[in-house]
Amino acid sequence: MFDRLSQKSATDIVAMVVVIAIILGALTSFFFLLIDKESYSAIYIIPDSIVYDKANSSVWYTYGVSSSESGTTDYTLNVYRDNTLVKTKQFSLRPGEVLDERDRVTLPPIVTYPSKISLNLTTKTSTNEVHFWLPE
Amino acid sequence: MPPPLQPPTVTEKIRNYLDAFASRFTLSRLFAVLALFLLAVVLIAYLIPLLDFGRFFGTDDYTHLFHTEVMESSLGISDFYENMGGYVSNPASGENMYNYPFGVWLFGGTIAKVTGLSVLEGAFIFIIFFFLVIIASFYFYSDVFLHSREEKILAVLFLLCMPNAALALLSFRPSVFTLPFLFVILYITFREPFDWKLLPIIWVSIFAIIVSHTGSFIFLISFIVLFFLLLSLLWGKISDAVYLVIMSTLVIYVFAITWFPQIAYQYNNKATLFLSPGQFLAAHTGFGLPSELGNVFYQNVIVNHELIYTILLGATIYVLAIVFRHIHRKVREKFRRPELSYPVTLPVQNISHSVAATPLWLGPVHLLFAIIGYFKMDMRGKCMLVSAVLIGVLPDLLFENADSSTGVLREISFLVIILPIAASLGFFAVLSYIGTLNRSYKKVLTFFVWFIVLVAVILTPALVTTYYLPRISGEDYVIGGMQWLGTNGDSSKEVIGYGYRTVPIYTNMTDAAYGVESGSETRNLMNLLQGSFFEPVTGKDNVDDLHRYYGISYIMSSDKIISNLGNTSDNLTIDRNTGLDKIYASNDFGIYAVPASSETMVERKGLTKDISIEEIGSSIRVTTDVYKIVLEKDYPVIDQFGTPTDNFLGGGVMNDVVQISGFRKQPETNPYASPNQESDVSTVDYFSLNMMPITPVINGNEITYKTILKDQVTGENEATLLIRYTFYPETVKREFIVSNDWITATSVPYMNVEFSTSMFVPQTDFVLNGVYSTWNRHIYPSTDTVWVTDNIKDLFLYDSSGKGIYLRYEPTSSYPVSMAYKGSTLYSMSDVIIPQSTSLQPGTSYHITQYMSPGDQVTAREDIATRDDIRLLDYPNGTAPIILTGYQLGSSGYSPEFSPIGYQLLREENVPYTEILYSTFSTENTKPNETYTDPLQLVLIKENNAKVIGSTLTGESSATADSVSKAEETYYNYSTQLKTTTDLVKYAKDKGLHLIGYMPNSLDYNLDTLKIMAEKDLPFLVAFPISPPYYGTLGTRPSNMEMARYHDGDTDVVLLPLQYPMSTSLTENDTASVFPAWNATIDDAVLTGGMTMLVIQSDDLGNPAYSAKIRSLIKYAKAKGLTFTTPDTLIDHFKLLQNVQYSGSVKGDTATINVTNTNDKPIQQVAFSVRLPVLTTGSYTASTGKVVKTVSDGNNSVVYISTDIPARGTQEITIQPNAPRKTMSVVHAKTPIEGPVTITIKGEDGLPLKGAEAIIDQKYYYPDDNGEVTVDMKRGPHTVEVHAPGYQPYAATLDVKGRLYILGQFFE
Repeated sequence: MFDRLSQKSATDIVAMVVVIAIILGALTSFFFLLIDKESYSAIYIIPDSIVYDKANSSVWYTYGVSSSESGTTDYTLNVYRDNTLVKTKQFSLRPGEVLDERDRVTLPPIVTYPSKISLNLTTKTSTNEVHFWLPE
Repeated sequence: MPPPLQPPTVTEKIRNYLDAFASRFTLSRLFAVLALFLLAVVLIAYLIPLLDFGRFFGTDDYTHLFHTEVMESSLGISDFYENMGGYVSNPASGENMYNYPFGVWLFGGTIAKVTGLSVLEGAFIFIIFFFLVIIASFYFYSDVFLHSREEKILAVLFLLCMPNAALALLSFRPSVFTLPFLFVILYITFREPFDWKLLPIIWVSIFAIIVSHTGSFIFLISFIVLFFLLLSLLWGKISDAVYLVIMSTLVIYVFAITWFPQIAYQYNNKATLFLSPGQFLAAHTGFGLPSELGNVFYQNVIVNHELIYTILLGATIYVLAIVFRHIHRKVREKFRRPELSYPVTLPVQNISHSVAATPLWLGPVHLLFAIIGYFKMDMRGKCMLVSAVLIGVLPDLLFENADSSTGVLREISFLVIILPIAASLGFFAVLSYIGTLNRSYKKVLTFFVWFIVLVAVILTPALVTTYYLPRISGEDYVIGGMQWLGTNGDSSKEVIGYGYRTVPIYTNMTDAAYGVESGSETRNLMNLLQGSFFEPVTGKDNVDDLHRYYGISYIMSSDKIISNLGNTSDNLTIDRNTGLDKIYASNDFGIYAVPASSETMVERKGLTKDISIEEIGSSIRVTTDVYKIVLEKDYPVIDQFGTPTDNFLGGGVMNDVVQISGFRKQPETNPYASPNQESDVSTVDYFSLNMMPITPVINGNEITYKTILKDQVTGENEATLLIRYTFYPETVKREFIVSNDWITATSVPYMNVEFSTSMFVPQTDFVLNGVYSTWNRHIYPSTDTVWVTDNIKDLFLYDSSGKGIYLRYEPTSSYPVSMAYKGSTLYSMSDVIIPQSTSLQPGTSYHITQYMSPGDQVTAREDIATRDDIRLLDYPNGTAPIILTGYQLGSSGYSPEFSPIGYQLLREENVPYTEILYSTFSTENTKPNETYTDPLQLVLIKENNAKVIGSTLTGESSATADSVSKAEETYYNYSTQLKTTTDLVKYAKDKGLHLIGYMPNSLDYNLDTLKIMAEKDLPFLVAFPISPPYYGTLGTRPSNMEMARYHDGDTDVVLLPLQYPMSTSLTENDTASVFPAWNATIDDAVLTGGMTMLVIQSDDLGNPAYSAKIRSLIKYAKAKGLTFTTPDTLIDHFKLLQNVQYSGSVKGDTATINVTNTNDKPIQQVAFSVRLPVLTTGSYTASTGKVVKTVSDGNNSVVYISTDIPARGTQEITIQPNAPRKTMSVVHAKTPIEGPVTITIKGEDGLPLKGAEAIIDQKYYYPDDNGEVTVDMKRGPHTVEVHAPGYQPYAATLDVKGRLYILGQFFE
């Protein structure tokens, strides 16, 4: 097949091309695998953790924040009751860290139902919101 | 002087390493280089990206993984299909996704079982190893066309860098799973010389393809047939090996589909493509023969799996090949240049715009080299390339707009069988050409060619696996959210992430979108989802409906889902939807939950060992071995009904409607008023049960819904509605009771009630058993309704499989007299409505009883019969009672001189007698008007111990009592009626008479009358008139007493029927209209078992003009089995019966009844009727109580049993033949093999046993004339019961083995 080109020379050419191709392939793969990586955060409320204590005008819930960002991330958590800011919390998480916390919101004496409790999590690049409704 | 030693350069090091590697394995250096490059490609472009991604590429994979998980948890294939039936709304539909070739699921499930890994882990490891298997098998397969190792390894590299291959090779998909089998078949077939010993491997591979992937099978059969014909036409060769593979493929297909009919739908559907060439020719040339032949092939081979047609098809193909070869030879002889017949160009220039992207997906470099390589291949290779291109590309070119084109053949991916090989040949041909050049840039050119190819080889899959596939497989934050829900959510609930196939895998929950039938059900789901996402006002209602109809507790949202719903995030209002809490958020992905407070999920399982009742969300699910029924928890309607695995309602509905009228009059039309001024107040109150929320009460095996129906104009209470579901192991009993127990009208006491059961069901045929005829009908699509008029006893709605819903009416009320039906013109559904109506007097109820059972006609009917064949009778000792009563009207027609003669007649005939004592009272003057009461009569009543029923007026303007038609009545108010009744009781007491009951004059009364009866301890009221049966209606209308109801409760007053005409209608010149009516009434009572109450005045009894005929009438009634009695005797028994409960079942010739008396005193002569098969010898006997009579009813006997039950006592009664039981012989294979299994049933005389019935896996079968029952049985245990009258029952469990068991036995 390499009639007029020595076998050795031809193979050297192929070996050289193989090395170059492997390098190019590896660079391409590693670029997308390592550099072009998704980074994100999530906020959640544990289902069934919501306890509405009408007698004491307070509602308990367990929320969590999970970080899948590429570096340590600063978060601001704002808790609203029907668009009224009731509390704010700031914290930082490293990649892979999770914050779970039992929290309480105190309600005013007169509540208009259904009342919405909203948790707003912001970073420098994104905002995520979860909420639940208080039934009458 | 030699040069000083230098450390080797990197290039030299690589070269040295390659040399060492090559010499160690005696490989060429080039092969070693390419092998190392292959390793690098596999690692860099495939495995490392996959491992880094950590989950499956693609989307289809997750559907297959879900099915694999179910397969892994199943005991076998049939168990798998049964389990999958639980996930879909209509398991009978062939369109369900699991009715798909199952090979890869079975393989994946087996790996998980064998290794102990989870399906997800096992399948992930599997695809890595299988990827290597594909590479290895392709390498060996390419040996057919390529001769050097370098060529073969380069072909592998070309395979790996085909874009469409790079997209798929690491997938968990059937199309990938079948590739090595395809390579094996082609390798053995095309390898020369053909090795016959390897033929079984071909067969196994064909079988594996058929049970794994429809597309691969269709490609295989199309490809090899085309190859075979092209080879004969263009090269003048007939390949026996290829023909053998063609025949093997067709025959194995027939057997495989026969064994696994569940996958037939896929083949039936996708193989319609085989019709396209014929249709194309017929449409464009008018030549219809190919189309007809295509139809014959499709219908008989693909659909009907007929072996004879398969052989005929094979013969046709062979003959065609011979003809083609002949043509080839003739052409060759004529032109003497055989090469002219070679196809030198591929139909690339004909590729239309729609397939313009084909080179891109195949790889432009591949195509370029493959074109060159084509000329380097032998005739097999050329023929294969041409065939593969035609199969892969031609259908899209020709049948671009054909709906039957499924896309399977348009899949160019099957070009992997030849394109990389051709490309490899072409590449080395180019290199060889470069090598012949005497140019200085030869090295550069060589370098450039290698560079282009090898860089493409590694970059193409690298880009696909690291960039493209991860994006189409779903972002990490979406998967992360699903995994979070899988960890923190309730796995017993259902979730929807519309369009995400990963949902069931990562949430470990049931995907609510899976198995939703296309058509109305899918549209409804879409509408509700859209409403939940985008409707700010009705959003919560939509969520409630999603929860109610589809059991959805979690809803996912993302930009992709919003796009799938046909909208944009700008219109999103789901965050304002108060029916949903948002419990997870990450970027555009969110998870919403139906709040726990609105959940009503309380699960209760295991009512008995035979019946389970579960409350799941907004549904109540009842399951037995025979049926599964799902009721809406808060609405008294059925959502699903069918066998435990099949929902026979499909995407349809079943609903019941009550309409009440008679209390509001239509306003008179004013002809001078404009239509707009006319009142549009309806006179009918309409109650659709699927719109009526009612909280159920679950008690034992009963679920009861009760509500008060309101007048829809005034809002006042109108009637009580009770719906009761009673669940037996074999059947469901539905009772609907509408009671006229609220309206105390001063006029028009009648309540007109229409009740209708409507069904919108997928069944398209029915058998209706009426009193007069049996109606077998197919329901054709139509915009007009068709009516059947008959007294409907049974209705069986069924589909093409012969299975469906059996509905039987028990005559607790008159049978429905008509049914309307029509087929939908839009869907494969049928509309069926069964209306029935009645008029209710105050305190009476309309009691409709339906039994429902699913399955085939025989089994469903027998299942219902196990319960419906046992009935508790209203009257003691199984008698049909008849009451004779006088009516002391004191009218002018009264002949007191005949009364003593009448009493004499009664004494002679030993007939007890009752007198109705009618008195009028002034409503102002409490003194009775005694002119109507003849003192002589009072003496006679006392002398003859006749029982006395009191009677007064209840209002003004009564119609005459001997008329069935009612005039409008104005009732006295409560206090006036109370006064007249009190005076009546006092009057009777003064005369020394005891009133046993009451009959309102003209049978006119209202609820006040009933209330007064209860207060005055008058135990019964003669309430409703019954007209004599007309010709043809005999036995269709039960005439029974019932407990009066008042304000949603039972009173202690019993309502009695009274049969018209009265003897006051007799005239000496005309008896012909009265006596036949009385005879017919007696005949009717014999058939229905109801009670008869005739008014024959004592003077008419003694009137010489009538007495002989009346005496004959009495004798006739006695001869017919009727028993003369008085009302008080019946009333006492009937009241005690209200506290008697029973359950029972019939199996073969044995019935078991368990009866409990909860009264504080004993009850005598409690009677049951039991329908049992006719015995050839002996009779039936009861273990407790006694058989009082046996009546023949066709092939059955109706046995009447009477028993005395002590106070608060329980009895178990077994009714069975009294003769010693004989022994039947039941013969079957010792170890049955799955497929048709025959059981032979014979009697003691060795002859086929008549009257036997076999119950196999809950299904009924009747033996044929040879005593044989043949049943298609799947592998596993099967219960068999055989019953025959007078024979010992037979019961066994057959352990049916798989077909492979035969092989095992052979080797043993």
